[in-house]
Amino acid sequence: MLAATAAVDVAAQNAASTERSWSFGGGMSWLERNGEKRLVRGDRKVVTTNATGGLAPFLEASFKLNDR
Amino acid sequence: MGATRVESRYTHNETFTNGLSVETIDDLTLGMMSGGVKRTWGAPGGLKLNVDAHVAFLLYNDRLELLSEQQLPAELSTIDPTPFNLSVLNSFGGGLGIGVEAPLGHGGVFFSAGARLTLGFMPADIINDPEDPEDGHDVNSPMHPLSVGLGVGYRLGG
Repeated sequence: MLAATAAVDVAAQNAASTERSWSFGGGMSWLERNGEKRLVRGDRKVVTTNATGGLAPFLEASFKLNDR
Repeated sequence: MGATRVESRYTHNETFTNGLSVETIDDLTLGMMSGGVKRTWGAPGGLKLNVDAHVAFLLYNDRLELLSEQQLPAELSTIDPTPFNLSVLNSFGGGLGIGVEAPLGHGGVFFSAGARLTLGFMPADIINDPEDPEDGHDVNSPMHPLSVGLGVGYRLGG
């Protein structure tokens, strides 16, 4: 949050004099971990692990260098 | 650059040679901080398509309490099963994303939607593992977060 505030201040100064600009945003995403694994430990047993997905809020800041 | 955090569940299942199995579940928290470059196509003030390439720092919770000797069924006592609690380490990943941005009015506010895939791993050390008493990466589970999200943003200048 502190970083985002600093970005806004810098952007306000840059925007007046150049085409470069900052943008920032946030939202909500569904994040699937794709973390399943199966392994055999020694000669005794099989181990499987799996990580489920969940809702993930996100924050994002970007700086535009040019028109592309 | 961006940051996201998700709380979910991690399931661990052990099937022993005598046919018995034990499944345990613990909370798994993943924080992800990423930075990269983004290429954008589209007319100023209109719908824009973008793709990005990024690297990410993956931060996990420190420990997963998956299977302790106290939790083991009595039937397993004859085969000396290994307690399977994990000390989880942070790691790096990298990936690609695709998204669209649509302006909302003329004030710099925009709507965004996108998907992003990050390829990474979750290194973990089995605590008190009799097969490998050294600290290290006993388990290197794949962890390839795929996120699909909606958001709003604000562009200053440009």
